[in-house]
Amino acid sequence: MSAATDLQPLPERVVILLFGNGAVKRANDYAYQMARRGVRVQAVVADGQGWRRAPSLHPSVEVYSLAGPENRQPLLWLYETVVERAPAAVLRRLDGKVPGAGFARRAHRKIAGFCRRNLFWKVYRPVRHQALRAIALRRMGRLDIGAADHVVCPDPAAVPLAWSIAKRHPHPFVTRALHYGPYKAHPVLEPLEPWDTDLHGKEDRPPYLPL
Amino acid sequence: MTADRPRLLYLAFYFPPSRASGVYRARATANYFAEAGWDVTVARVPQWFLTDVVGSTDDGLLTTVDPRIATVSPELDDFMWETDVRAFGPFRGNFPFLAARWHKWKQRFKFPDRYASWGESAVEEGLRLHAENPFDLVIATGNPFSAFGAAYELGRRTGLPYIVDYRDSWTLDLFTNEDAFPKGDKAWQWEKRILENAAEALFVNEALRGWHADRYPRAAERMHVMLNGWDPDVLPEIPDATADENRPLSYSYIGTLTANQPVDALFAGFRAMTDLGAHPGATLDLYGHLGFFAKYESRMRSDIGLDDDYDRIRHHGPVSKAEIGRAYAASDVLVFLVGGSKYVTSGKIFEYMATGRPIVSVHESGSAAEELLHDYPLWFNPGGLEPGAVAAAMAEAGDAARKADPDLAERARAYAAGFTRYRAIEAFERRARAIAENGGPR
Repeated sequence: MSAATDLQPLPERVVILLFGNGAVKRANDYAYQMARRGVRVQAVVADGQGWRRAPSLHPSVEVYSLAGPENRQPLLWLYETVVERAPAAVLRRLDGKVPGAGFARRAHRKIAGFCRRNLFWKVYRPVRHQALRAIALRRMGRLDIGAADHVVCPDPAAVPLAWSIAKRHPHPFVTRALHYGPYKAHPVLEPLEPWDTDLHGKEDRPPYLPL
Repeated sequence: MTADRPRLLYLAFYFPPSRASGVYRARATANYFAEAGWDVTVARVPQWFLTDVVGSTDDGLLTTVDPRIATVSPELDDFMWETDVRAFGPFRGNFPFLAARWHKWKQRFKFPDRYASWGESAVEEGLRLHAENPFDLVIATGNPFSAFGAAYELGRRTGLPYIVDYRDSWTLDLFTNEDAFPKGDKAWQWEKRILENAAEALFVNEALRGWHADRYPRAAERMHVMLNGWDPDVLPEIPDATADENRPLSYSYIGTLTANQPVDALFAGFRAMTDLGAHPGATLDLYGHLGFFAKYESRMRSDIGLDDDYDRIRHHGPVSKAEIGRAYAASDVLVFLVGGSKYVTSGKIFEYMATGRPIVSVHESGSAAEELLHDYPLWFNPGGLEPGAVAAAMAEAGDAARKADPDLAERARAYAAGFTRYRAIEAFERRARAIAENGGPR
């Protein structure tokens, strides 16, 4: 009944910034609605840390991952190596050969988990968004972010990156709102399906590309 | 009083062109007072909030506001609603979490409401206007209840009497019938302070008035009921339905659909009715916005099951003021869908009754609206939300629509004629005039 009299111009390319997994479902809904109307949707995800239980992104989205460069940060790499990977590797090799190694392996897993929750995240969370901003800005050139029409950061952790993009590039409309309402009146061009993240995982979609 | 035309400052956050559900009461109050010889100034929300945050306006409604009414738009802090990252300052842009904590910390010292900054600006604006040309009375309508806080503060600083109009309840959760705030919350202190110093408090039904009178006995004698009503200038004359055995019936809900309404019970009842073969081809037509904020519409659409593949339930989208008559004319049976129970009347019911169409209640038993519907001759009450009972009531209402008895419709419309908005405001305006003349009981 509501007539689409003054259509807002549809963006050609949208880039979604996701540093945490809290907004992935909303981003999927937005991406689905935009992609089926012919918009090219890209996403930059920081899936290196705290992303294990994150739902996968809609297959129509080109996903660029910051996992590699994030995990290669010296202090983070050192922590994971010293506290988690190296002891785990040693204990795995000893398991079955040395008495008590199985128990030690289980104990290590528990202690490492405790340290990750109560030490690692306590220190890393307050600085993560700043660290990721620096990492992402060095690599954003590959995405030609200045030519994107919309940059959306539904996730508050991605605000510093979005703000820096807004300062450096005058063209994109940089917003926190995943709001496709203004474009609903545009015709649907591609027969895409909504993405049920309970049924589909990361393996059911094209792989995330390194940024 | 200071002049021939008493001066009224009306604090109504939602005022045309807002399309909020309570806007008709505010519009009618301001118009009635202007017609009754008051010099009315309305303080409303800034326009950006309606266009950028709410996402929709009803510009047609703006033309129905009396041209003698002056409006001002006190500022509202946009921290919570600003989504344009370019508009963020360096502090918020670089340190979003610290900025959010700082904003939250500042709120501790303010009126306990997310629109407190608007209330503060309304006080400043009110004081400025009062200094230029003194007001005689302040009326505040809530929600948001920052308007009440502003009225109290204006009263405290100028000695002006003020009246608070509860379109909605503040400290009572209408959907659970329990306290909306924990004990010791600042909202309780503020409500007590505001009510005990108010010249009068208005409520939309007797149940709400009684609840507040019990809570605040010192203010009880100054609490009154001002019912909602229907607006003859908004609702055009609806033509009589015609008896036609062959035409499929249209069951309609006209109004904003929200998550607080028993939409599941309505859909289940309608499906049960069609499954039983009653009124073949009948459709359930929904007219109106989904939710109060445009950005939540898509989420709500899937939450309530409108995306399901069932073509007998149709959502027609919002209807403008000009189209509402057509929507009613196309409806054979109206579905009165409302959440909550004994404290909820819903202003929509008056408009529904004015059409003279059969009305099916879909709400919990004991709703405050039942008192009004009791004497309406075309009311079909399932007595609860059980799908079988809803289906039976819908089928009966459909039978009544098929008969289209013109005498019954006339009786229904005659009953509704006693519930126009202005009829409800008359007595209030007389009391307000006396308060303005005498300075109120403060």
